[in-house]
Amino acid sequence: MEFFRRIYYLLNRRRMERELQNDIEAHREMMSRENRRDFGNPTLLREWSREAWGWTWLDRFLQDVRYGLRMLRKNPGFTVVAMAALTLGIGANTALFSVVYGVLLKPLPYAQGDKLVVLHQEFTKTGQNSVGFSVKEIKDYREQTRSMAQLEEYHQMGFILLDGKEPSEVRTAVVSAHFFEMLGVTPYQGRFFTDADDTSGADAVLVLSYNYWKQRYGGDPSIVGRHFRMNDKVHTVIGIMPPVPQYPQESDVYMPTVACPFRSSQMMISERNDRMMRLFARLKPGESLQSGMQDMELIASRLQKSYPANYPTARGFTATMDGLQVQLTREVRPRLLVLLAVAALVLLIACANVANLALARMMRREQELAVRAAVGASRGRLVRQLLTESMLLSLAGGALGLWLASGCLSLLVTFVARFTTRAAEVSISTPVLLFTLVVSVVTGLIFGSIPAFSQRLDLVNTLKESGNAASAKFNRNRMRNLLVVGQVALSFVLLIAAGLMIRSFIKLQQVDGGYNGENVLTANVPLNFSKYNNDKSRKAFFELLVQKLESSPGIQAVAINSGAPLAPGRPSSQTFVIEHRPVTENDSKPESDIEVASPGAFHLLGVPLLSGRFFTPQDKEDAPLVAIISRGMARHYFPDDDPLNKRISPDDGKHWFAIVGVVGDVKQYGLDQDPVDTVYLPFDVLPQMGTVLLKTAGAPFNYAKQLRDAVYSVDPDQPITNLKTLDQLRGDTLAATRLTSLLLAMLAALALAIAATGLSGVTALLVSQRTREIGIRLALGAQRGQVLRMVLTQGMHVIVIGLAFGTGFALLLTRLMRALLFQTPVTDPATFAGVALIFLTVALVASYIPARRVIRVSPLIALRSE
Amino acid sequence: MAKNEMLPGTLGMLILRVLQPGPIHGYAIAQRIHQLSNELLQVEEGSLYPALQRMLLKGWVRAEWGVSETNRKVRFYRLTAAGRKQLQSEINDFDRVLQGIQAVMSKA
Repeated sequence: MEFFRRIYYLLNRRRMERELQNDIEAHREMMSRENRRDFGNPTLLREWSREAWGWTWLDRFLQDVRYGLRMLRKNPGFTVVAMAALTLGIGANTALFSVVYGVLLKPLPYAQGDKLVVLHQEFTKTGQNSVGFSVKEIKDYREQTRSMAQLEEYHQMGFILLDGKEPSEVRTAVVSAHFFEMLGVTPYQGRFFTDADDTSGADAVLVLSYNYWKQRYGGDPSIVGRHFRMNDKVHTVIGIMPPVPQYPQESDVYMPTVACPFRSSQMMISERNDRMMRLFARLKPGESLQSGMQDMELIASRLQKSYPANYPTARGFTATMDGLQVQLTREVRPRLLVLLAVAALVLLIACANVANLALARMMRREQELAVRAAVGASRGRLVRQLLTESMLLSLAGGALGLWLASGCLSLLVTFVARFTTRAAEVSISTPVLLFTLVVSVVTGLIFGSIPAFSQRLDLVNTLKESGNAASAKFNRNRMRNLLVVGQVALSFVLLIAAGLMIRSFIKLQQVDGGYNGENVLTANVPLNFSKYNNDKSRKAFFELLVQKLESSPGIQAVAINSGAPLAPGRPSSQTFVIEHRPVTENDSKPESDIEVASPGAFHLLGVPLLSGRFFTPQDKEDAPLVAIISRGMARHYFPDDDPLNKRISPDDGKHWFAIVGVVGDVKQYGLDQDPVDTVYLPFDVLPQMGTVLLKTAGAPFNYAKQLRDAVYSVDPDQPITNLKTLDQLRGDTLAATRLTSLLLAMLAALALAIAATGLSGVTALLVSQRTREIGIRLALGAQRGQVLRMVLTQGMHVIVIGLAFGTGFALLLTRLMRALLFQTPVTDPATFAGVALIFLTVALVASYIPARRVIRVSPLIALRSE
Repeated sequence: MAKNEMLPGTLGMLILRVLQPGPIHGYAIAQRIHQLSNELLQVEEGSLYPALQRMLLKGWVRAEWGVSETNRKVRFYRLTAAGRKQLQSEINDFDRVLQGIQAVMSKA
């Protein structure tokens, strides 16, 4: 009751105060004349009475806020600079935290996402730590598991979908019947798969992803029940996925395993070594990742015992699992954490900077504060007043930072989308708002308490003299120098981090991929395998296409191979045997990637011939079979003898290929990875996959239409995908490092700018405090250059100390970013030296600008000052 | 103890007691306490009005507009039911404390 009355008083305080005032006045009027003299101070009396209402703290607070706002308005320079630093600092942290929260912290948007795991098989001794699962293995794991409630398989393929419009290749997820149930999602429309759908002979059915339905069919509500042609079969749409992020990859359509012609082939079902599928599972309630991993190991060891031929001990077979969330964010985690740490440092620098500014302002406010203390303000009250001012600044900075963060968020989302499908879940959510609020308050407390508690309140001295309390000033100068040293040290650390990243990027950019990608256009032509269902028809298609393209103007060379260098995706590796080198039971067979190349491919890509010869048009399937191997493979398997004319067989001796040439290594899968051992076979022998390469006379993209027209003129139902230049593909693989460098460099530049203003401020103060002394020196005949040098040297002390600390911190901290660096040691001396040089230059300029004032000092005026 | 000072903690009880016969205004409360105490006790305005505000908040008294004997618009304070209960409990407490004090004073 009393609580509600208090609220009532607060809401009606005007009336309440009037009534109180009336009571007190009436009382005074009714008193006799001589008694009236004893009547106290009516205002004070009212104030005491009001205290009973319990709202005094609010009054004081509002008073502090009003006063603080007035002070901030009166010092627009300070307010703008401090607010800008805080906005940038808090904004950077808010943006990065919203990404960290959305990607790393937020639970997966599925029922009990922490119980979802992804399974791996590993051949540890041959370095393959994530091989897929074969149909037989999936069955074994399903039957033998004790820890998992359900195991669902997944693989993704591109199929051609004909819906009456332009033919398109759709990303098709092929899943077992209860995949969606495992994730715990419910259909947006229609239904998901049932066991009946996933039985061989069942009618082919499809589930569309929400995005694909929206984009391709404009959210047509009557889509369920529609028929599409895929793989020469009629597929009926039975449902639509809800708009949740898709794991593990984005797909356009989903189909059950029996509908995939590869997955349901007799060969795939019966061959234990055809490991094409990925396997996901949901742990039983009460089971942990730990017990799940033991379970997987146990099953793997049983498999090894039962089928020793499939799991040779020499390859070191085992199996394990990983949390889905960890797996999905593995690549992005170190980058995000480094960026967040960097942003936190930027905020710390901003804090130090604002504290420094506030200290400088405090010197000018000394008189005001002393007067306020003299008329009865307690020290606590003054500290509270100063903290309120800081808080106002930091909250305003936080609000602006939030605005800044929401503006830059899309940039960061594109950045993380390169590493994880969770990027779509990033937004400014309630936890992010809370984070920003807490960060703002803490920031305000940190930078506010430094000046507030350094306040001595040396009343007598301050009031008596014109602010010449030497010891207090000395203390405060020391504090300011300390803050600047901190800023210098921290921003140096950030510059080093950015420098290392940029250096790593440059190194990566300079990596020789082993080919020449200039003016090469590439595209996949994923043939509809049900139409082109034999080697002959596939060969005929590509022969016709090559003919058409070769006769097109401006196209200098045409080649077909299995994949462009640095294009995403990687074929499964293949084991082979070398003639006259028997493989023992427990030994692992040699293994390499198999690439297909038409005769002109090496020349077009500028891959050098090291010995032997390239393919010729005579290397046909009915001619003697030939192969070309990469340099790495030659070194690896033929270290002592000449590989030329040795024979290898990928199918246990059924076919033997004679090695006719050795070509240079190509970094097929990443500039930061070692080249993979590769066997090249003539396209005519293995016309499986088709990537078209065009060497063009001018800018490659001008030939995109020619390529498209050529494909359509051969077969109007044939889509082309992944149309890119080789330089673009190379750029794509560099993008992650480039973007990380860019973000780091931006944050570091921010830090440097903030620190530079701090340095400027210190020098400016130094100059103004020593004006008198400088005047004397000048009067006694010192040269202005000398004086300038003296001031600069003194400023440089702070910088050098800061750099020393910064180097120490950097040596400690850069270790954390080792995973992001390519061929760059974390203590790279060149980076350290270069960054130090940049820093000193900026620092010198930053101190020179205010120091220049000494040149203009007139000895007369200087001597009269103070 | 100076002549006009009061025992600490008793002001509330005295105010409630003088309000018992009927509603009176602030000045009258001070006057009444002064008179009834044979001019021994003097209530300071600095204590009276904060105390009245506290009692209003506690709900022991209610204020209502009225006209004073000098023809001035002023608020009269009226004891509520809760106030009566509070007065009784304060009197009981006070009696107990007084008995205790007297017991000590007479025996020691």
